[in-house]
Amino acid sequence: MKNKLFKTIFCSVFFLMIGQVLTAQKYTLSGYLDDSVNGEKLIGATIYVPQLEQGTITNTYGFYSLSVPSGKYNIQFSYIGYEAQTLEIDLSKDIELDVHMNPSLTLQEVEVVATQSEEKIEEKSQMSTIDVGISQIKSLPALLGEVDILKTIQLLPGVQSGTEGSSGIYVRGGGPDQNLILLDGVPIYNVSHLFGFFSVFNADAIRKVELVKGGFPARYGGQLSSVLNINMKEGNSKELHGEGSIGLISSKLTIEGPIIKDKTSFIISGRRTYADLLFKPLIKRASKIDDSNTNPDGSSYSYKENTNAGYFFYDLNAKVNHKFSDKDRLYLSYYGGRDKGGAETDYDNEQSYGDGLGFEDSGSTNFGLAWGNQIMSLRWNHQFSKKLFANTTAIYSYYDFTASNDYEDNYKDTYYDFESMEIKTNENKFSGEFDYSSKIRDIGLKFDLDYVPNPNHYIKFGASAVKHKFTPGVFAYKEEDSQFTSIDTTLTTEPVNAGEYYVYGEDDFNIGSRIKVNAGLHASAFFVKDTSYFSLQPRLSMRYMVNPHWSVKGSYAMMTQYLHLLSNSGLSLPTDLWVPPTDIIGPQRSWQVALGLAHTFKEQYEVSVEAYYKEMKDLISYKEGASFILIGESWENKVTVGDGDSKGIELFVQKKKGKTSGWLGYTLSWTNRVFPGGPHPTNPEIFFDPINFGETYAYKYDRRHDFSIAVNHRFNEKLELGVVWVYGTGNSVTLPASEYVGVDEYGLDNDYYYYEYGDQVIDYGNKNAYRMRAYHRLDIGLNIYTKPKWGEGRWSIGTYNTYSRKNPFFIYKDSARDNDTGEFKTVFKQVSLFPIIPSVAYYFKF
Amino acid sequence: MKLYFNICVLALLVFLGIGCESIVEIDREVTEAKITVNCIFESDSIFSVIVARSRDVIENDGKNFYYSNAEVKLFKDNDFLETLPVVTRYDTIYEWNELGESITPVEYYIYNSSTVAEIGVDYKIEVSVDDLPSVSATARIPEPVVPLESAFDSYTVEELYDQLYLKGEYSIVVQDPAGEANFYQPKLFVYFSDSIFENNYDFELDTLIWGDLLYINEGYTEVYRESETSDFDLGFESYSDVYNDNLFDGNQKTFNYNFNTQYIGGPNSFNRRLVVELTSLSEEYYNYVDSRSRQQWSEGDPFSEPVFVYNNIENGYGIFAGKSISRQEYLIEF
Repeated sequence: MKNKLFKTIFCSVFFLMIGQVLTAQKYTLSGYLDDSVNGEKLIGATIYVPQLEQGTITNTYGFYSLSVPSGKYNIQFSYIGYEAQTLEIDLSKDIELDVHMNPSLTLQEVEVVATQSEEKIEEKSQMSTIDVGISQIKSLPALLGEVDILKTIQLLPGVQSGTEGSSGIYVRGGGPDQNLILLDGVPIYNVSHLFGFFSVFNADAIRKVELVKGGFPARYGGQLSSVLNINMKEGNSKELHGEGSIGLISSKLTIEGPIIKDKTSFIISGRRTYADLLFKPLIKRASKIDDSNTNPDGSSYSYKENTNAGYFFYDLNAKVNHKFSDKDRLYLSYYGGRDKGGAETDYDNEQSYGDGLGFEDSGSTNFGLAWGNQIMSLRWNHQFSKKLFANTTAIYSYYDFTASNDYEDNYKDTYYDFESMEIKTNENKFSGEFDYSSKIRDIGLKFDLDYVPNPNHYIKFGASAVKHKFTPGVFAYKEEDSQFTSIDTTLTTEPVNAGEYYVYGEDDFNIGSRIKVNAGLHASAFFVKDTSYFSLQPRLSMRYMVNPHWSVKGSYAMMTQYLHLLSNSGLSLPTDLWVPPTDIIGPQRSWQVALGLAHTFKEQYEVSVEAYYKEMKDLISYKEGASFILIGESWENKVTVGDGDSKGIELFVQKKKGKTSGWLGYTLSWTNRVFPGGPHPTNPEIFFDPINFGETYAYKYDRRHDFSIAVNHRFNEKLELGVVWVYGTGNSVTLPASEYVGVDEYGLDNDYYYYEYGDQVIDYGNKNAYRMRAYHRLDIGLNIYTKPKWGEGRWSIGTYNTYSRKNPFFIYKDSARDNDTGEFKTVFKQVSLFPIIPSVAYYFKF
Repeated sequence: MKLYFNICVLALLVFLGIGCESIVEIDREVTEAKITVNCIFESDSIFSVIVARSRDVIENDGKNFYYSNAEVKLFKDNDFLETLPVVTRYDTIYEWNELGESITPVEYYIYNSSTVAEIGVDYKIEVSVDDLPSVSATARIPEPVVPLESAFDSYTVEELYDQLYLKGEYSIVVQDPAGEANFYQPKLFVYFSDSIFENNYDFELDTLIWGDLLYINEGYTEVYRESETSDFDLGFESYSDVYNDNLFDGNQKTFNYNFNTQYIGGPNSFNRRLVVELTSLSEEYYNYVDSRSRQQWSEGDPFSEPVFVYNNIENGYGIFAGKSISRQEYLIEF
C-alpha cells in the first residue's frame, strides 16, 4: 500500500517535471564563478534575477546556467564572504559569462564566515544537509592542536562520536561503516590515523565539506546513513602561495600556484607526525639493557638488549588542474596516507660456567604494522552546451593493512658430554616470519551530467561502474630451523572480484513559487561470483515556503549498501575488514523519512528542526562469543543478520557570519538493534543465530541527548576565541551483573571439581543495559594573528577537555585495595584517556 | 636550537604522559542474589537437584554457596509428587602447602527424588529458601532418536611403544523427525579397563620387571569429532558439539568421526568398548549448552562479543531440562 502510494506520487511529480521542461523556451546565461584573487571556483554561489524572482546556484565546479525569457535584466551574483555584483545583461541571445568575485575586504579583516553556501536554508529543497566552512573548522580548538574535519563533524546534530578521542562518526543511528566518505568523488575506506584518534583529512588542502544525513539526492548511493562530501582545493591559478603549521605532534606544508597563469594550477600539501623522531632516542635509551657479572669462580654472565620503536603517519594531497578551453577542464587529484609503526629488538646473551663451558644466545625480533589509503581521480569537465554540463571521473582507491613479525635466534651451547667424556658444542639457528595482510582496491568510472533547461529545473543524471577487488586476509607463516623441520605455510582467503554499478536521475524543480521538489531514482546492481543483487531506490525531498523566511520540508530516501565492514572492537582499527555481500549475507538496506522546519532570521541566523525515522534491514553483527580474528575461517560463519531503527529530533541553530559565528546543536534520539535469528530467506541450509535471545536492545551509540555548541568570536584583527562544549549521554555497554553455579553437559556428578569455586556462569542482564557516564568536555582555543613581512601568521593556543572531565573510554573488572580495611575488593574501573590537554601550534601563510 | 628541541621533547612527554589514561571506579547497582537451580534429568533416572545462591560479580568471596535447607517440590503434569530430601555429599579440595598436598572435604548438597522421570511428561519444580523469591521451572524429556546406522567394523588396533591405539572411522546417521524441533548431542567414547600396579614397581627400558597389581582402572576417553568448518578452525563451532535440526529438519544427518590414534590402554587392558551415545536434548537444554559453551570459549577474549546464557528458571538462575540418551556398545576386538 505504502509502495503504491509512493509510486503514484512519484509518477505524478515526474510527468509534471517533464511537462515543464518541454514547454520552456528561453535564452541562456552560463559560465563560471571564481575567486578573483586565487581563481578557486565558488561552489553554491547564487545567481538571481530580481525581476523574475528566479535564480540558480553554481555546481561543484563553479558552473552555472540560467535560462530565462529574452530581455534586459539586472542579475545579482553573490556569495558569502565576497562583494556582491549586479550586472545589467541584455539577454537577446545565449551568453557565456565568467564572473570573478572579489573577497569582501571588511569581512576578511574582522569577521568570520562560517559557511559559504549562499542559498538560504529555507529555500533549499534538500534537507538534513549541513555545510561546514573550512575556516570555521580551522579556527575551533582541537585535540593536541591537530585540526580534524571529522571531529568537527561530530559536533553537528544527528552525528554521534564513538569512543573518547575517536574520529569515527555515527549518523542517525547508523554504524561507522554506513558513511560514504568521498574525497573529490572517490570513496575512502579507512579515514583514520593513529587507531582512530585523527582523521586522514588535512584541512589545509580542503576547500569544502558537506554532510548529508538524510533526504539523499539520487546521485548518492552505496552507504545507508550519510554522505560526507569533501572537496580538495584546486590550487591558486593567479600566483604562488603557501601555508603551513608547526604543531605538537605534526607539521604541515601546502604550496599552491599557477603552472600556466589562469590555465593550469597545482596544489600540493603534506603532513607528517614526528613523535617517532623525538621519542626514538628516548625509547632507545630507556629500553637499553646492559647487564654483566663475573664471579670469583670464573663464571660470568652478560646480557645486552637494544630496542628501537616508533610510530608515525603522513598524508600527501596533490592536485593539478588545467583549463583546455572555456568548455573543457581536467583535474588530477591524489591522496596518499600511511600509518607505520613497529619495534625492533636485538639481544645478546652470554653465559660462561668456566672451563670453557657455557652458552651464547643472540638474535633479533622485528615487529611492524602499516596501513594506508591511496586514491586518485582524473576528472574531465566538459560543457556540451550552455545548459548541459558533464563531469567524467576515473577513480582509483586502494587500502591495505600489513602486519609482520620476524625473528631470528642463534644458539650455541658448549657442554660436557658424559658418554664420550668430551666437551661438545651444539649449535642451532632458527628464524621465522609471520605476515598478515588485507587489501581492498577499487577502479571505476563515473559520468555525471547537469542539465539546466530553465530556472525551474536543475536535472542531474549519470552512471557509475566500479570494480572492487577484496583480499580480506592473507596469513603467511614461515619458520626455518637448523635442527628441526621447517614450516612454510600460507593461509589465504581467496581474493574476490566484484562489480558495483548504478545509474541515477534527479530533478530539483519548482512547482509554483512556494514548492520546490527534488525527486529522483537511484538504481544499482552488484555482482560478486555467481551472485547478483539489484536495487531501486526512490528519493524525494520537498520544501514548502510558508512565508519568505519559513519553510516546511519533508524527505524520503531508500538506500542500499552492498559492502560490509567487519569490526567489533569499538575502535577504528586497521584490522577492520571491508567485505562484499555473498550468496549468504546480502546487502544492507534502509529507508528514512524526515520532516522539518527551516528559518532564517536577521540574515545571519539559520534555524532548522528535523524529526526523522530510519529503519535498517539486514545489518550484520558478530555472533555472541565470536571474535574478529579471522584466520582460515569464513567471516560469514561469524556473523548474524538483523535489523535496526533510529528516531529522533534535531535542532540546529547556526550563525553564519559576523564577529561571532558558530552553531548550537541538540539531538534527542533512540537507536535500537534486533537480531532475532532464524532461517535464511532463500537458502534453507543457512540459519542465523539470534543475539540477546532475539530481543531488541539499545545500540552501543544510542544517545538520548547529544548537545554541542561551537562558537568563534573575533575580538579584533589580532585576537579570536574559539569555544566548544559537548555533552552526550553515555554509551550503552554490556557489563557482567551476576555469577551463578553452572552445570556441565555431563550432569551434576561430573561437576565435582568445581563445587567450591569454579564453573561459573556469568549473567549480563540485557545487552547494552549499562549506561556509561555522560560524556562532556570543554575546549577553548585562542588564535593570535600576526602580520610578518612575508605573509600572515597565527599562534593557536588551546586546551582540550579544559576542566579535565574523566570521560569513559572503556570499563573493566579489576581488584582494588579498600582504604579502610586494607583488603582487596572486586571493582569495576573506568579508563579515561584524555584529561586536560594543552596545545600550541603556529600557522603561517605566505 | 638544542634548548628548543629539549623543550619540545619535554612538552610532548608531559602532554602525552598525563594524557595516557586515568582510572576511576564506577558506581553501579549491586545485583540482588537469586536462587540458582540446576537439574538435568533423563528417563528412568531420579531427579537430582542442586540449589545454590547467585552473587553479584563484585562480591569478594568467590566461593559458591549451596543451600541445605531449601524446599524443593516436584510436580508431574501440575500434580504434586513429592518434596525432595537433601543428601549431603563431599567434594575434595586440593590445597598445596610447604608440606605437600592436603585434602579438604567440602560439603555440598543434592536433593534427590524418589520419582523416576518418564518421557513425554511435563515436570515442574518449585524451590524456595530463606527469604529469596521462590523460583520455578517446567520441562520434559524429549523422545529419544535412535541412530539409523550403527555399524562399526572397519577399524584396526596398532601397538606403539607398548600402548594400543585404535584407528578407524565411525558415522552416526540420524533420521530427523519432520516438522518438530529436535536437538542432538552425538558422542563417541572408548572405554577400557587397565591393570594398575602399586608404586613398588620397576622398569628396565620399556619392560615391566615386577610389580603388584593394585586395582583395575575403568577408564574412558571421548572421541572428538573433526571440525565441520575448517581444518584450521579456532572458533567455537566445534566446541559444544550440539546441533539443532534447523538445517536438516525431516532429513538424514550424518555425524562423522575419524580417529587415527585413539588410545585404548596398555597391553594389559581389557574389556575395550566403543560406546555410541546419541543424546536428544530438550530445547531448553540445547540453548543452555550451546550458549554456555560459547561463553566459556570466549572467556578472556577482550574482542569477543558477550554471550548471554540461556536460563529457564523463573525468578532465578540455572537450568531445569530433560534429555534422553540412546546408547550402543561395540566390543573392540583384534
